[in-house]
Amino acid sequence: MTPEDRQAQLLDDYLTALQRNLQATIPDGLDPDMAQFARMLLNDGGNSRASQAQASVWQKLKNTDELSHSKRTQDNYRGRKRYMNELKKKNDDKHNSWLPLVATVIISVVATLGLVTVFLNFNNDRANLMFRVDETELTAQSQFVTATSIPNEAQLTEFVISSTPTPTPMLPTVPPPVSPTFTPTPLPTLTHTPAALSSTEPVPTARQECNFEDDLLLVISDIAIDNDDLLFVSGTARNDRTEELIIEIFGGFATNDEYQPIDGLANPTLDDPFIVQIAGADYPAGDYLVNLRLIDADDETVASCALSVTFTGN
Amino acid sequence: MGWFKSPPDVTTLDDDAVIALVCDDPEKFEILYERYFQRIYRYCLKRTSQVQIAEDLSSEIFLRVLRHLDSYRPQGNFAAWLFRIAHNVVIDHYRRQKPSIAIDHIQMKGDSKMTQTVANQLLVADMLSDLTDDERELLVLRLEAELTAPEIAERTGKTANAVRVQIYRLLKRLRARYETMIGGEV
Repeated sequence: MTPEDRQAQLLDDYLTALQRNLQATIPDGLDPDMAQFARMLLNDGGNSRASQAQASVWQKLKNTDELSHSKRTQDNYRGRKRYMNELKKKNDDKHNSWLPLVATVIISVVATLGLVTVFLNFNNDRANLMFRVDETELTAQSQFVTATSIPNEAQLTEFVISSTPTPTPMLPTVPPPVSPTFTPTPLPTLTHTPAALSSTEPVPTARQECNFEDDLLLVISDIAIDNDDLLFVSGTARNDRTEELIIEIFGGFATNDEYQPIDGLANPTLDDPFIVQIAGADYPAGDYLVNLRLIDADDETVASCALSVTFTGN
Repeated sequence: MGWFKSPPDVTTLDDDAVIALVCDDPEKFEILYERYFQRIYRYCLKRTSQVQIAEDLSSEIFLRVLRHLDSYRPQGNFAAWLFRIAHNVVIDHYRRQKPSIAIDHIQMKGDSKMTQTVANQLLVADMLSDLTDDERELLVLRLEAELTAPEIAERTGKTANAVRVQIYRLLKRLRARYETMIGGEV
């Protein structure tokens, strides 16, 4: 932890303490000037103004139809039922959290017993196999035999890839059971090496994904500018809600470092990947914000999720 | 009488349990309102700097919560869901009109003269207006909405430590500016 991380942690602890009690003591090690400044920021009278406003706002809310019992009961029956089911499921999940562990243990025990049985069968059966093995093949494969600790080198060579010089981590540790009529066939060459798994192939910087409560999903696959100075943002979006969907693009090129809306797309076709084209401006490399917004009939935002994408230039 | 089960103490219920109560009886919404009003109001006040607008937006936020409560999934983070709605309402407010620089929220009712605290608030409000929208949002979420660093991190896709460090740097920057403005005294 760097000194800055440490100060940041102490400040965070102090902010939490101040939010409970404005007279909270300053943690040891926190810069006292910073502590005093934080306290001043929180002691700005906001609480007393909030207290003053609380009753009047509640009165205003009570006068709306929204808090009418009969209306809400009718309107939200389905939503309530779903909520209660989900809450029940959540509680069940909490209580049953040990079930996956027990299931895993049982499966592991059964799998181990099965493997032991298979291995014993194989040792019995392989005495029946009468294959000739080349001396060179034996030499080439000895490393696998050692690695898998199988005593009979001659038999095992038929179950690994003889042409692959590097040991493969995906080598089956227990060979399959062999019947007396078994015709050994080399496994195909294994190309899924650890090196391939940790490939350093760059991932496009713009490809990102965000979702909002599982029913609003935005995936940006590309952001680019073509020869006609059109900014293309492409991706996919999913909306499982009933509200209208809007995709907006914000650019970081404007003044004050703030994202400014530059264009958008209303009601995109969600069956296909969407493409937003923005024309007529000079779009420099930099950070852009793509926003997916659901609005209701009153043009009010119901939900939104946003992705910051980096356009690296052409 | 031990035969009757006493009603649950709502102050001990978690948010999801309270929402379940609200689903059965909308008048129980007042419990959520009591729980979150102050944080919501302070969030709006800091984002808009105007008392009347903060009240209107707070009211709007709770109305939206009530309307869309059936779309909330009981995932144990109602506060994060609530402040997403608050954020959306504030964004909609700014869409409807350009932000005003007015800082009338510092004028407390009944105050006849500007106290040192109020003068400080003026300076702080002025400094906040210089921050970018994202920076202001981050500070307001932590200081006024009282979301924790992990909750903000979940929302922004950063680590909790990154959020803490960013807040620390922001406050450090604000403090330096504040000291310059008042001549070296905090």
